[in-house]
Amino acid sequence: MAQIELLDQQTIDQIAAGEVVERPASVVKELVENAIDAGADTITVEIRDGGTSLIRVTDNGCGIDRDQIPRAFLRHSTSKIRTAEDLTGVRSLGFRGEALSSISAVSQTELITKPADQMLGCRYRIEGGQEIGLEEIGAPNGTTILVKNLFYNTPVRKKFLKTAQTEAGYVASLVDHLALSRPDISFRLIIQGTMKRNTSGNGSLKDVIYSIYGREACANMTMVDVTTDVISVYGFIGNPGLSRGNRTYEVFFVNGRAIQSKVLSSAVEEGYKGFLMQHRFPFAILNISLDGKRVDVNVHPRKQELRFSDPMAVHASLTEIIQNALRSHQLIQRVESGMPEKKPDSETAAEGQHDAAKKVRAPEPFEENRLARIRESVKKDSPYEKKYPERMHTQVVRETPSIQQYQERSRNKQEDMQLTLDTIFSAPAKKQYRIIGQLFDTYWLIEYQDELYMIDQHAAHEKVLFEKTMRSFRERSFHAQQIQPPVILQLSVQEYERFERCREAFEKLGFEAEPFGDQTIAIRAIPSDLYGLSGKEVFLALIDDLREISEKDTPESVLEKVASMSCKAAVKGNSRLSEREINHLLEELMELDNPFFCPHGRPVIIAMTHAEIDKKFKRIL
Amino acid sequence: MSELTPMMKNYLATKEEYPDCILFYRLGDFYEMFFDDAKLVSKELELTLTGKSCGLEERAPMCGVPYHAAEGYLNRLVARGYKVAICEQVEDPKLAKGLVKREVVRIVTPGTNLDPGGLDETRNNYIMSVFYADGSYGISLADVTTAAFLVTEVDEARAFFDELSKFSPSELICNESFFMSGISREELEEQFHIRVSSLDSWYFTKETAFSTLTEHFHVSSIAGLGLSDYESGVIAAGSLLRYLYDTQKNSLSHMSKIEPYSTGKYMILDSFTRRNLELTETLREKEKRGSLLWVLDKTKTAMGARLLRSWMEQPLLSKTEINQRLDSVSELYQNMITREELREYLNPVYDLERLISRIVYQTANPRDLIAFRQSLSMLGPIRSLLKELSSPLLNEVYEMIDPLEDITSLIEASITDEPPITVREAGIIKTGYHEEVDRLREAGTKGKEWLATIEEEEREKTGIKNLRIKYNKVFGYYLEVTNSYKDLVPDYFIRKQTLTNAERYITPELKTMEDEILGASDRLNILEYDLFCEIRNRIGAEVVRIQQTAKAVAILDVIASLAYVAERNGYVRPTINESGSIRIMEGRHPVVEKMMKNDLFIPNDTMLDQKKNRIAIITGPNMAGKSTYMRQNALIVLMAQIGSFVPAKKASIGITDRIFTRVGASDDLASGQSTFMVEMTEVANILRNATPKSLLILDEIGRGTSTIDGLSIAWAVVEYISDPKILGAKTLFATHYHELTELEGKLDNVNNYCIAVKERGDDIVFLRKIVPGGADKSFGIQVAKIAGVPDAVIRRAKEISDELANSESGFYSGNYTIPEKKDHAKMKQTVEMEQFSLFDTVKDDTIIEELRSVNISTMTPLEALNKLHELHNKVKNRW
Repeated sequence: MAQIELLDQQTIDQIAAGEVVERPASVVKELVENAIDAGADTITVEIRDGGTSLIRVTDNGCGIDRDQIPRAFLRHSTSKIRTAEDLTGVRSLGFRGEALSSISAVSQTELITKPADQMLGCRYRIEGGQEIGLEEIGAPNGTTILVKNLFYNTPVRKKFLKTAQTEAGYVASLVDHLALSRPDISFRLIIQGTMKRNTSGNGSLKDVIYSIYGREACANMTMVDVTTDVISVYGFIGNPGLSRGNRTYEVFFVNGRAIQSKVLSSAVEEGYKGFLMQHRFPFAILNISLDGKRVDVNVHPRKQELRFSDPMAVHASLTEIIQNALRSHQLIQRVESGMPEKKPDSETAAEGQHDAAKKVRAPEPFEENRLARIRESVKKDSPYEKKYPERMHTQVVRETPSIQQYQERSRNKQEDMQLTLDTIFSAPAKKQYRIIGQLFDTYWLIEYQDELYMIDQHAAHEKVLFEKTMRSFRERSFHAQQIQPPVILQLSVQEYERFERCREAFEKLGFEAEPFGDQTIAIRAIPSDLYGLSGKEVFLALIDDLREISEKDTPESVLEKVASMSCKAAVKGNSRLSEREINHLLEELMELDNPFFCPHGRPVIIAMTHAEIDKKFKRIL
Repeated sequence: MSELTPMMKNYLATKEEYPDCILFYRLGDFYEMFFDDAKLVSKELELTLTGKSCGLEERAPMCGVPYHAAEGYLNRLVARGYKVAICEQVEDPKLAKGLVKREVVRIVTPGTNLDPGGLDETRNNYIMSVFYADGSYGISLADVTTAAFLVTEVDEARAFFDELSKFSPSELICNESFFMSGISREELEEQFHIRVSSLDSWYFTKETAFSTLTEHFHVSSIAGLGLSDYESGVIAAGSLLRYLYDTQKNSLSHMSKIEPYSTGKYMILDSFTRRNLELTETLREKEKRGSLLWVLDKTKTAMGARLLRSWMEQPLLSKTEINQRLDSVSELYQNMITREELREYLNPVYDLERLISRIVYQTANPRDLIAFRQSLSMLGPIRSLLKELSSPLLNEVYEMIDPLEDITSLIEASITDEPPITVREAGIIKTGYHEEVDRLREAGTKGKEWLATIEEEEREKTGIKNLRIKYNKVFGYYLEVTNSYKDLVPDYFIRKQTLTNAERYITPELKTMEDEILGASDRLNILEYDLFCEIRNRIGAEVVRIQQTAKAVAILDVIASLAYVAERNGYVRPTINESGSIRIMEGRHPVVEKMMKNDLFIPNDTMLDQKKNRIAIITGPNMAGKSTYMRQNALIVLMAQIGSFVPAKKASIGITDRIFTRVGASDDLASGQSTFMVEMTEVANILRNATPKSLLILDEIGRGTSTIDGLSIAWAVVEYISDPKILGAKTLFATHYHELTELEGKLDNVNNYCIAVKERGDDIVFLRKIVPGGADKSFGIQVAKIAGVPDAVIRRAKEISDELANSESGFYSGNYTIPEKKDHAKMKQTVEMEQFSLFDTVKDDTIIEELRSVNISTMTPLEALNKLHELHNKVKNRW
């Protein structure tokens, strides 16, 4: 049997280090938290090779006195607490006394520091836990720590690291969170010599959010600044349209410390209930303050989680705060430039909704919701479907270019949506619907069971056409209709160029076009599915859109793009169709595997339940 | 008897009119040069020299460049300082009877090159005109691409050079007497790379100048232009304008205003100072990267980049104006989101100034107009963002920006979205803008449609079922019949081409139609061209509005850039005072701190004023940061007076009228003057021209001559400067002469500082901190050791220095003897040099302790003396 021996101090340190120092991001976290505790207002983080060859944290805080330096690197030494009682109510970020000792145990560390009241700075080097030297040196006020060659002496741990890029990514999102937690500190992040992030430290959380998340996010956020007797909350929450597919945009700080907490996540999501679709998560950046005695941070080795003394109270309080914020802001509808924004208050909520109903515009982020949801539910793919996600996304964005337009659907229950759409298109259903009529020359209103369906005729038609085209293409069964006499089109230089590039695709889809003069082409045939509409206009519209196609596109993708565009071009949203035609269209729609959205990602159907309509008229509450 | 051909005669006649230019003579698709021009150009541009028959027995040497590639060659010649006259065919060769008429349409000179390919967009390209008479230099500058037009006067050659280095013109014209003023032409051409030419004296008469200017600007008298106080300046301006007329051969209507300025309005920086401080380019590599401009320039437009450069060349002297700029920088510094949005909108804005010049010159092409429109469309959003801001300068910018919606809509309505590059191609004008254009286009289309119907017709007539009408570039339109139907082909089908399985035919009807279509297409081309020119001219008429907007956009861009840089680099707003005191807390060098790794730049304080802190004498070793410290102070003062935030924790800057630097090694070896001579010339200049409000940066005055002379001169200079009745300028004076530290006791406005250094045995550690007190040692030997001088030399040097230090009197009387090389064994017995530090660890108690610990009974006299010396130093230098 092997002997039981006490481990030597170095080994102990290395093992303990493993808990605290998991990856470069953990090192950065510890060092930056120290810098914050030192009172710095400018903190620079620099990494090379994802943090494996170099991590540097420079701050302009209070520095460390010369005699104190070696002590700092000992285990269990800290300036932040003195006794265990201090743990309750600890306001500083670091306190365990573990960080520096752990880090220096598994790296080659250099510390350069100078308190403001001293002339000389100090340089201290420690490698693998062994002190190398302490000497005096010129230095600016504050502290710089250089951690080189992390895990150089623990190759196993080093192997567990991900690629340099991934590790750099972790560091970057960590620095982002830290920057959000302290808008009063200027953070700089330098990766491989390039400055990637730079916050001003001017105290404005909104400015930090702008630096990190960009203009769109900023434009669609609401400020929250509420104090209850349980907690104080300050931060920004995004409008439901800014939802995401995962929780990465839920960022919480408790007493200034970045933290993950199921309690808080759940509370916020509960607050958003009714505003978001399933599997969608809100954008929320919140600073939560509460009495230090009611929260325990000493739970997780890296202080990433915590325990509340009364989680239920916190949960309830936060949920209410979020709900109030969302409702009172009453997600306003932005209109085309020229029209002022409407800011309804809570009393006139109904009017607001009324107005909202008047302007029917396909909401962009709303579409994202639909797409995501439907994408998940779609099982059968056509080859186009598979490549769709990017195409749809970009095309959706392109259609509503400059201004954020979206409309708040004043519904409270969205979960039913899923169900209703599933049912309308099953075979028995089609016999039981009643066509009410056409609206605005664009939409068809259908009553089915207990719901009102609004179908976008344009989108539906496009969808049908597109599926037919792709099917014909797949089955190579195009029917091209000859045009006599051929249609002559005059094109500009660029248009002609584009035509040349996509000529093959055109032919494959059933268009026959050839040069007929200077910058002119003659169209002799168009696919028979489109016949009956003005082939010339289709072609022209097509040519215009072709600029989207670059040289990089393969013949396959060119073909698909041309196909989808042809359908778009074929259908004009405002034409009148007779009831018979719409019936026919609806039938065809239902025969499709996937009728829910048009080739460009716009929704085909929007539904409202009987109950919702009643609510609007205040028949029920 | 051979005679020159008519063309050659015409060529020579034209050449006579422009003897000092290279003549580009247009012949078909080429510009050709003959005789001497040909030889010169073929050598300069490395083109083949051929010959052309000209009617004489021998062929004339010839060299040519193709028309469409001419710009590149033109730029190269102009860059080398040549003038090129462009002689074009001004009538259509097809219509000409006899020799095609030709005219010189443009003379391209280094200072008037319009082609964007030959210009750096971040700099102006100036041409300067100088009129010298009676000791006064009238100076006028113009940039034809941006329509800048300036006028001033100076009365000293030195001041003239200051302006010259400030604007760096690429071409200079002058009157003959200018060369008598003591300025050498070679110096200008070789050192400054300027093409110099003198013009006839009639250019420089008062009458010509007055009439040229008043006519051009449509005013009745010079006073209307604000030039009544400028005599020689006006003549210079008039001559310049005249010269531009001669070379540009157009109305120059885009030169819409003339700006007189006085050199006294801005901080004066001579060319040495500009170079030494590395304002716009580095000293050694002459690159932008590593200069102050590189740090500050984050502008988004070319106009902004040029304006920033000119703000840097001309720092302000008025507290109000400086604060105005600082207020707006501050506003954009605080409103980060607005600032970043503004910068995003500025990004797609093209160089409006140069674009409008090209439009007025009628060289702009359709794509230029689209670029113009795209830029203008940013103005609306920019204005609405500006509305939310409140600082006066930004409000002014808001007022100045004319949204120019009428121009945007004009272009929108008339020019297609993706027009061709050249003006002669089809597809420029949008359908729906002009009736005739639409009609001609339709006619073309209709004609083609009609052709298509022929197909059906002929099929029926001939019974050839698969008859097709097709088109290709070679034959035009034709009827194609497969071989199977060959026999059904009627007589009026004329065979054109045979293929393997088909035949191609035309009919007279077909051809007539084709000709009509082509005719319509030709007419359309001409019409489109005419319309385009008309639109271009309409826009050109709005030149003044556009220039004003461009100017406003440039100002906005510069302010945004300064604010962005201030935030990014951690700068702070300086307070401006008029009492002349400069107080900087934790100042940093803006360029060096960026180049330094790991953010380890060590900041330093500075305190200078007009009373007790007038002169700072700085001692200490080389390489320790003295120069960086002195330069950073100059740069911080300069940055403050530009209106920028500064790299410091806090700064209060007294307005400085001039900054002089005498720093670094001499670089005038080429002019044949010795280092010392150059230095003394500079010192003379400084002492004569500095004022109490100037800032002097003097590094090691007195080098290059014997120690005693050098020390004496340095001492006397400090005394001179420190006396407020004589000069009294604020000065940073770095020196190796430790004797100068005694001046602190003698003059009450001189203070000693030194750069802190820590000795560790034989080595030194640079602390880079400026501390009060004089250094006792230069550590020159230690520095030499760091530099890598061989150990043997270092050891011997130390020997000598120890001896010399111990025999002071001998040293000063000039009779010292260098001791013999000592035996090393003996060396070890001499007293070791104590480590001593220069700062606050020395307190009374420490000294007393040390004194107490000395054991007198065991010390040798020498040891005792050394100990006394050491203690004495400690007491003297502590703080």
